[in-house]
Amino acid sequence: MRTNAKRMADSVVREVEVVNPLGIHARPSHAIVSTASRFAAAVQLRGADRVADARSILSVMTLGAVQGTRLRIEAQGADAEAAADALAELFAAGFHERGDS
Amino acid sequence: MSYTDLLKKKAILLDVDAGDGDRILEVLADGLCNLDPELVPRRGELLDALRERETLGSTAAHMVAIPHVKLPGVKKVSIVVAVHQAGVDFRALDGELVHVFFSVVRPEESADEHLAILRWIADIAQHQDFVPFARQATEPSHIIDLLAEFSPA
Repeated sequence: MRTNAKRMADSVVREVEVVNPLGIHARPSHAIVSTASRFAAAVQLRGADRVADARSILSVMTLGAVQGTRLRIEAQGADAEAAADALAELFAAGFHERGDS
Repeated sequence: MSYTDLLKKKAILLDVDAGDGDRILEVLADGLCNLDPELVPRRGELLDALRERETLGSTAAHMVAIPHVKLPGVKKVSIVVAVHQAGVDFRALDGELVHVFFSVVRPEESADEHLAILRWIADIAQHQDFVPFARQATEPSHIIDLLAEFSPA
């Protein structure tokens, strides 16, 4: 528990929701990993039953996050704030998929 | 939970010799056709689907790749595991060459089981020792045993 508390204290956290109809399928997974990989920060996506390493496509694509899923972005490191913001923006924009597709 | 019961020995391809990403997809498609005769007349369609999935984004990380597709009309899940000693450039975002490929083809209806299988593979792939051990395998049963060993309890 102390380890968890320390992790939480060192993390930048953003709560996000999956808004796009197809959820985190191939393209959004790739967008998440590409974006996270631009930063030095370690980033996790925490769901109800699983935590994904945002820099690993295998990890992200198996999160199984469908539309409506709520996730926590947790980032640690020098540019954690920028990393968390960039990812949160992607989620908010529905990975540029909502509406027309 | 382990899906090793879905893997027959002929599903394991050791020492695969494929020069590039597209050639490895052909090897994987052949391997899948060998497991499910119903795929044989659909080899071209299967290969196109695998290629298309990779254009959406590489399925490679930690020296492991999971090219996977669903095909309408397919009646069962088939899995092929291929080990490539030298490594293939599979456009991984982490820049690593891929040494172990898991290719999965599934029916349209089995989304939940499919996700469980992908998670099983992804969790095994995150073990740093998995690829080095896989490359040491000299028989298909070694790979099956390795997967069972790395599977969550």
